[in-house]
Amino acid sequence: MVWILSAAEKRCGPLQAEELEVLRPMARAMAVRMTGCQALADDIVQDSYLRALESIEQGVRVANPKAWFRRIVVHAALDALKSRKPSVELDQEAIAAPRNTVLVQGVLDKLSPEHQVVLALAFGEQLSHKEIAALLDVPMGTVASRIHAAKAAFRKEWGEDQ
Amino acid sequence: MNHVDVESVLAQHYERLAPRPTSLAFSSLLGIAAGVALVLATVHVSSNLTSPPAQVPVGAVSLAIVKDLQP
Repeated sequence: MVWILSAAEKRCGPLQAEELEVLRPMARAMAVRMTGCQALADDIVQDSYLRALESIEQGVRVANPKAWFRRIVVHAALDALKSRKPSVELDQEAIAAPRNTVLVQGVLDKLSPEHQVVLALAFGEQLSHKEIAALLDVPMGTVASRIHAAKAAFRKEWGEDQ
Repeated sequence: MNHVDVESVLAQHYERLAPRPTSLAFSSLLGIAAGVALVLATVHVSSNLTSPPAQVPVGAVSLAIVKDLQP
């Protein structure tokens, strides 16, 4: 990731590079909550930095770097979840995790990427419907119905798993 | 299991995956407060053990006050 930072310093000046770097813990925590996987979260954060630097290179003007970068992370997570292949084997991370975490994550992994992300934003990030709508580029009504459907899907999978 | 409190289950799950900074700070404060309380309690107990309160008869105190008040 060092080369990305040096590239950032060249392209957008030291101040903007620092602004992006400060957002790394927030980005990683978001990615972990959306995917439940540390390794995938690292990939998403790296992909997010690349996307951000590409936009900066194209001359994007950013009024609120945190909101802007958060939006990039959400879309990178959605793309990563959509391209993730289902795994039947427990990885080392899952073996080391507490039983409850494995159970809940197992249910979440069965949901669609859109449902996984909207649940993480609503109950993990604790964002309002308005904030989620802005992040996902959808109307607020869609956010409400998506959360409702995601909760119903979770409840259904949870019931089948128990 | 259809009556599972999804919001609560998920909130706890996300907190376990990546604790929020505010809750971390709150936990730290709780830890510091508990530590201070433990130290104070230890000091109190040990001081009571090393220097027990003086056993002065009430009558002697009253006599001393009365003598003090005399012109």
